[in-house]
Amino acid sequence: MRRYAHLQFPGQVGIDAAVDQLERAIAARPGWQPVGHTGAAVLGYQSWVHPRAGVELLAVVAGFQPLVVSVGQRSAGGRRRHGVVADALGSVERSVLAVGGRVVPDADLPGLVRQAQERFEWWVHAEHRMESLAPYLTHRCCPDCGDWSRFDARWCRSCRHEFTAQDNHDRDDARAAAEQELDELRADGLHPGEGAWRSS
Amino acid sequence: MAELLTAPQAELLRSLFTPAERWGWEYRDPATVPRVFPHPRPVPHPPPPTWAAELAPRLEQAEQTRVLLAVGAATSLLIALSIGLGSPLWSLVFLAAAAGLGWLGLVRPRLLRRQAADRQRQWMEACVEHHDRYFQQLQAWTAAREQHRRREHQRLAASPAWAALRPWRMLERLDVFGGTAYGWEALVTAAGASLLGGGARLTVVDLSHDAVAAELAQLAALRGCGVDVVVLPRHMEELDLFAGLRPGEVRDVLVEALHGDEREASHEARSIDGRVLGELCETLGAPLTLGRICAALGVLLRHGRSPDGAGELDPDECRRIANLFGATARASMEPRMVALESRLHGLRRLGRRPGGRPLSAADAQLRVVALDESGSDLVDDVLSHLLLQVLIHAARDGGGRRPGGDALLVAGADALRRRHLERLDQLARQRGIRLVYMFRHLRDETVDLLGSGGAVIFMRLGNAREAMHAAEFIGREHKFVLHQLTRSTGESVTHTATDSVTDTTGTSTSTTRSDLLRTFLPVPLTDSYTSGRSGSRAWGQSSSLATGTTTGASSGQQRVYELAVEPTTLQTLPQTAVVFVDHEARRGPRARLGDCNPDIVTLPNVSAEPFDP
Repeated sequence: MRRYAHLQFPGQVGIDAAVDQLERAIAARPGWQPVGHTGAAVLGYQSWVHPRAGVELLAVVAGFQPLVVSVGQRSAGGRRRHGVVADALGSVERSVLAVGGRVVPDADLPGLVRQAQERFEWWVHAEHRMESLAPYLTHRCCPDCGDWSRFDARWCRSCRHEFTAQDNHDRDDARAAAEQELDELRADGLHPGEGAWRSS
Repeated sequence: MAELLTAPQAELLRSLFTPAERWGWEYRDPATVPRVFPHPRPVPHPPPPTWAAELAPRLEQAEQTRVLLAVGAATSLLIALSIGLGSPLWSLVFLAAAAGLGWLGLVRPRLLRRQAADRQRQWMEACVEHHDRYFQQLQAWTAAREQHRRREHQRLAASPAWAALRPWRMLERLDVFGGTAYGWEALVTAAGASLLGGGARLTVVDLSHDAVAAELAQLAALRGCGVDVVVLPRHMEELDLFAGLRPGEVRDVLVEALHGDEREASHEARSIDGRVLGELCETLGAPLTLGRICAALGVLLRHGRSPDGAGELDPDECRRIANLFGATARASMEPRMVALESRLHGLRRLGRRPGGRPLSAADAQLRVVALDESGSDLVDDVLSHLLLQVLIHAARDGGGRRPGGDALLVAGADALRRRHLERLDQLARQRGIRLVYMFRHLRDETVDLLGSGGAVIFMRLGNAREAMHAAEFIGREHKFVLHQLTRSTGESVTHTATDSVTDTTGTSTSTTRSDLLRTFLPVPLTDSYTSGRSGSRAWGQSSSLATGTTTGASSGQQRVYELAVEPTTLQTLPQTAVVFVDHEARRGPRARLGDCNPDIVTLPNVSAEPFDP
């Protein structure tokens, strides 16, 4: 009788939607109640209790991109408890399969978690990079003081440096490079907020 | 009066009367790009599921061999039962084997699953602990990023769009060229308010007939500054222009004023005038007014027969003056006396009222001496020069320095001679007086003054030649302009037609011999021999048509040396716009476009300091 399950959500499902999915799947089974008010979308884990069976089910996020959640019984228990847990796990698995996810066998879990970790680290770096590149599309950076001016400005708004023809070429190159890099990042599937923690 | 102001009005005055000198405001795009928060979000590192890597193969293997082991256990059990008591030793062996295989097939997978469940539970708890720690890191990062965003928002919101225009060298003369009456009034208000706000004692000599200091005087009074306004010729009778001057100084003032507007003043005439006026000033008692000097000249011209100036002079003075020169000298000086009397006649009312006021009240912070439009040009010309000479004497005497310094602004200095302006400039520089000349036009002698002081402000210069002078002064700069544009289009058409006839003939022979089968099978040797002949003929016709079009465009840029500001730009400046040209130590000459409309202080994000202090 299964006591735990690992679930992989499809890429477009964020952590909020995934938690809702789990909530609905477990709430659909009789007797389960969520513990606390802070959900996994904030904390990275969520638990439910079945008071009558005296068992607690825990879901933790093991990887973020793609979102990998491991669900299992939090406390050891008897065969009757296992039946309740297995029932909830079955509901969760069906729910995830219905949205295009999959059930991850134990053997695949370490590799998948490692991939999800690497992908998330890349995503964090890319998110920061996109934020840094965005001003190059609409503004120009002064080679003297580093402050931003309007894209078509003739003088730097801070140090009054007069932009030369070479500066203008550099500005155009910088914008083209930024556009290309942003396109590449988007082509790599970077969507802000994808599978990330809610930051506030 | 200042007590009657509402709070917004008082705030407006406070913004206008800032302590830092300002000659308008320079516009700059406000900052709009927030700085990126330098730290990327923290990355969680939940513990890896090592248990799965360790247990999963064993569990998988156990599950796969489970049936086989169960079958083996059952078989061993059957064998043990079948040999039974016949061979008790073997029976025991098979029973042991059955027990071992049964444990491996049925019990071990269950134990492994339980072990996996326990390890998975422990791993989840470790993940929960990590997530709790990470949540705190994320909260701290989020708070720091929000704080950064708030700071950036405040910085961008407070980013000044307008900042004060201020000369690099504060103690040098500042010249203003061009402009309209409205523009000058705005400039005098904006600059004068800042000078007064800084504690300076400001004297405005308005020779423009446009009352350019009227707004400043009203605002200064509202602000609570002491204001003293003298309008000529309205206040002519009560103005004691020579108050505090000795007779010799009055003579110098008059001679310079009367000969100041002549390009090539005759030394002889100057000398005679100086002699006559000197004698008269020394002979006359106090008060020394132009009315009394004119009366004395009248006495001289009438040889004492008809003392016209009886009303101004007492009989004793008339007698002394009548005896001043001998008959020969008087005859030779008479034309100069006539000329002097004629020039000064229009000003004879000056200081006529007894107990007249001096040119400027000593306790006033803002002193305005203005010519209004009611005076004749003839009188105003002499009066302008007279005022300048009095100012030169006042500057020479120096007087007590105020903590905020002294400032002198001469509006409408076009009619004044370059020599006098330079003399006043020299004295002002020596005495630390902030001097400003405002010229309506940039022509004749004013062109020669251009650049002889410190910063220069150009306002609207409608005349093309004047605008050209100003543009030349502002200077030239290197620019890249498009100088060549080449477009080319080409089209090519290639038509190829080919006829061909191909004949092909050939013969072939082949021999097949199979020896391999003979080695293994008893088959007879077979040989075959064939020969053939083949031939073909092909007729062909092919044609091809190729067209090609090429287009090209190229542009070339050329480095040119052109005026930094076009004359037409100066001709069409808005009334309150200023082109502020200053020589900065770090950057050399630099022209900046600004605006002196005092209403700018009502806009948000106006800085009292320059962008680049």
